[in-house]
Amino acid sequence: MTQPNNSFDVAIVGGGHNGLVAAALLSKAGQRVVLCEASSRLGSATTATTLLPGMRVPQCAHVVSGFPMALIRKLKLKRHGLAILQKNMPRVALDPDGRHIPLGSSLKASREAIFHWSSRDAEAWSKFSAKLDALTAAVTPLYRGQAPQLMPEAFSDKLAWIRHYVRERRRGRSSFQDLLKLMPSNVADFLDLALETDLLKGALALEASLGSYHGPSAPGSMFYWSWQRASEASGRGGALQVEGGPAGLTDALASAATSTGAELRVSSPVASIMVQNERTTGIVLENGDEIAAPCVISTISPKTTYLDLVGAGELDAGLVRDIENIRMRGTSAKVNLALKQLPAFAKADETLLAGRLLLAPGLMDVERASNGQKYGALPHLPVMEVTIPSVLDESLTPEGRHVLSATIPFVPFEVDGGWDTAAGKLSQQVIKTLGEYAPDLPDLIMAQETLTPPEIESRCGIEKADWHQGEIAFDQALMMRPTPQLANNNGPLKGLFVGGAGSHPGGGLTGRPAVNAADAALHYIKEQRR
Amino acid sequence: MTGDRTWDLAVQPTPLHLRTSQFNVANRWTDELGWTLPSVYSSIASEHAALRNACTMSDLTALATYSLRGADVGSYLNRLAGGTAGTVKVGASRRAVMCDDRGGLIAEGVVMRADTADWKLTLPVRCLDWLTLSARGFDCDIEDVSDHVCAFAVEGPSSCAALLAAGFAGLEALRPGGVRQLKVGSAGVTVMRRSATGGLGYEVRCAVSDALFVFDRTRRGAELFRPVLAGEQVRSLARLEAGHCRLRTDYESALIAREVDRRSPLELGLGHLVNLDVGPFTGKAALVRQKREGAHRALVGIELDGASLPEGRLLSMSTEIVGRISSLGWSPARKRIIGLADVRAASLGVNRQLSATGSDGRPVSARIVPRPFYVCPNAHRTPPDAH
Ligand SMILES: Cc1cc2nc3c(=O)[nH]c(=O)nc-3n(C[C@H](O)[C@H](O)[C@H](O)COP(=O)(O)OP(=O)(O)OC[C@H]3O[C@@H](n4cnc5c(N)ncnc54)[C@H](O)[C@@H]3O)c2cc1C
Repeated sequence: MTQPNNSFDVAIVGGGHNGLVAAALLSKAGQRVVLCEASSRLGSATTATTLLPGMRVPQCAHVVSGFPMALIRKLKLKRHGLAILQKNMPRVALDPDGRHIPLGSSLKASREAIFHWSSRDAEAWSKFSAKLDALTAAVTPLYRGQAPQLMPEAFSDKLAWIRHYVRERRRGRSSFQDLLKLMPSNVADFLDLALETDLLKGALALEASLGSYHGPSAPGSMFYWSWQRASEASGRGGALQVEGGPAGLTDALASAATSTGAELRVSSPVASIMVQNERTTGIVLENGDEIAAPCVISTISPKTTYLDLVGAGELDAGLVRDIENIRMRGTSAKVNLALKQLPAFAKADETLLAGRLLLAPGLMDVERASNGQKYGALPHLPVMEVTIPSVLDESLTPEGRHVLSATIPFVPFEVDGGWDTAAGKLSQQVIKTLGEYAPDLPDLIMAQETLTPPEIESRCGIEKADWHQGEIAFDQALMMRPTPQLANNNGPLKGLFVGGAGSHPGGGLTGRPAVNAADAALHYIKEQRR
Repeated sequence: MTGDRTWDLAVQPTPLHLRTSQFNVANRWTDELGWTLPSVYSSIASEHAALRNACTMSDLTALATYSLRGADVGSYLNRLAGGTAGTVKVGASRRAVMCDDRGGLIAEGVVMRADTADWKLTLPVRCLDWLTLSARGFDCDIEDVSDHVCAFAVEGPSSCAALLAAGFAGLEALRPGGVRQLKVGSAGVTVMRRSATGGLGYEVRCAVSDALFVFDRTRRGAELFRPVLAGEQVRSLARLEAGHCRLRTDYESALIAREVDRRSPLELGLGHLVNLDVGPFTGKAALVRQKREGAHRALVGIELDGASLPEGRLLSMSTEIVGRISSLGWSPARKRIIGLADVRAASLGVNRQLSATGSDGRPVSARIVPRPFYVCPNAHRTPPDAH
């Protein structure tokens, strides 16, 4: 039986940041919205965890990369409590001996730091950055908005391709050539050709591989890197640090959504999406409650959405095969620490430590770290991205205390010998590595937490611990994301939209998949009312 | 016999090979799905005459047979094949068409249901992959039992009488499409009243171990009706006369077809086997779209003047090429050259003067005619009149 209060215009599955963006946008547009989240908290990847009383650290995602400033304004998130502590958060290639290389917005500072390593690289740096930026600029227009149509029918869609082509042509032959040459190639070759400083190459290779299954030598890794850079470039604010960690963003989103009337329900796992005559009619919760809604936006992975919530039987068999073949394999782990004081990284001031610290001694170290996971082994020498959010964010810790968050790529979901023993080994290795950079760090630890990929799945609700709800690679990007038949929310079931990281343009705290889905849903609702 | 494969790999004998080779006077063979089958036993004319006027027996092993089990077989089959295949009642059978996502015909087969839990799907193509893929989300186990089932056909106006004489008791009451389980001696057999030849006919299935026993017993028991063994060529001709399109001749399975060779059930005239008004099935959306927008091609029956088969396969209208002849044959029943042709939808219509190129290089005129070319009244009667 459908109760009267269980009838809405739009039902949203999943309360990660994408689900919340969709809820806020649609309720702002006047729709009656309900959002159902399986766990007892909203936010999924963004939730903060309390390591010790008064000491909180971002549990999973630790920076907000690429959330559009325009969306912050549109949803008036600042009024709902969002405080941005820094924009364009700089990256730092961290060196145990203190010859760090800041990779931030200032070319000059980077060049000077690189000069201590190699004059040749210092000279090459501007040209190298320009080349990388050109590559990013080439994919950024594809990143924003809906994916381009493969076979455009409408004139405006055809024009989009032409515009894109003309834009690239205008940059001249050599840059056009670079684009075609580099996109399918790999990061390692690209770095080796341009630079000689291993520390620099290692840091860039690590940046390029975060959230990816593949190491820097894998073909196509250049595309992945450009795509990730495009995500930051198109947000206008780059990577953001938000007060309270990324949870600050989702809290503001939740508040914005409720203020316009959206109903956000936690501990409400969705068991199925109801379909009648190739149209969605609502959702059914695991407790049996039915929620009627002509329009459903799912922000959990497209694979689970279609195969489990909708059911394969509602779809064409070939589509089922294609959905089954979506590669989903997360390989990131987290180690979070509560520290007595700021660890002593050699020659590093607070400004430097407020950035994203890239711990990778060299290119080959990143590549080697990426190898073992294919065979279920932990990396021998983990590489990692570290943030110490408490440097700028006083809300997280008491005066003087700090929290450290480390994202470790290339950790297999299933490990040889099981996670019971491997988890301890992983955190030991991570702390040992950190100790090489800040010798006092192991002694400063007051509390710690290690999240293996399976725990990231179970505790944060991120399926398969996959950053993107499905690997980002050429064959799973743009109009092929999540599958060609489902791209741009043009799937076979009317009223069902996918708006999580598994849709174009992919993962990261960008909110963009949800914006696309909300647009498509509004369009659909308008069409239905006509 | 096929289980232990004592024969050379190039020849895959059917369970009835000992008999088919014994009677194959012409020693002409062909292969279907890898099985070795007689193409002609004696002569096409005599086999055809027996098929249309008396009674024939043929080896039907060259079909892929799948056994389906589980609570969801019905809904599985509906989703797999046109929304209708799962509606078969116990003791019945029906033709079913499987399409891929884009509405391309994979194959036309038959679903039969001997009892509540015993569903069988026979197809002229092996496609376990596709069947298994389609089972995702359904409680339905699929097993390829082609190697364990022996099938032969008894066809022709006197086939019912012949089978009755051979001890298949109660067959006269079996309606068209009906399926019944019987005992022949100690062997269990399943009989289905269905024939692709357009006339009366039955398909008999039994375990491979009983194959020769059941076959011999049937042949000897029906001695009075002089059953003639009919080869693949004559069956193929009979199916053409019945207006059926045939895989690998008139269409290519969408699983392997080139883009230009893909055909939908609507284009092949099998639209009655899909139900576009019922729940989801693979290819529905594509077929609905095709129905709305109109198909671009159609498979039609044609009749040609003259008595010799034309040289070329192209069909033209004035100077324009409008289609291709996909199968041709001299129909003894119709006393004409008949065929099926794949033509552009735009060239359909009455009084269209089509032509093909004759063996002497001159145009031969062709007409589009309704299918089937041959109708046998007792194919639809119950009980069928025995001769
Ligand atoms: C280790 C790690 C570190 C990361 N670090 C960063 C980072 O620093 N910066 C960054 O930008 N990105 C980072 N990411 C990527 C980012 O976390 C994801 O891309 C993002 O979480 C995707 O958000 P989403 O809303 O699309 O889906 P999700 O975050 O996966 O949210 C889905 C939600 O749906 C809920 N759910 C699942 N099933 C059901 C159901 N049946 N019914 C109801 N609800 C259900 C889940 O509980 C979850 O809350 C990281 C990812 C990982 C794995």
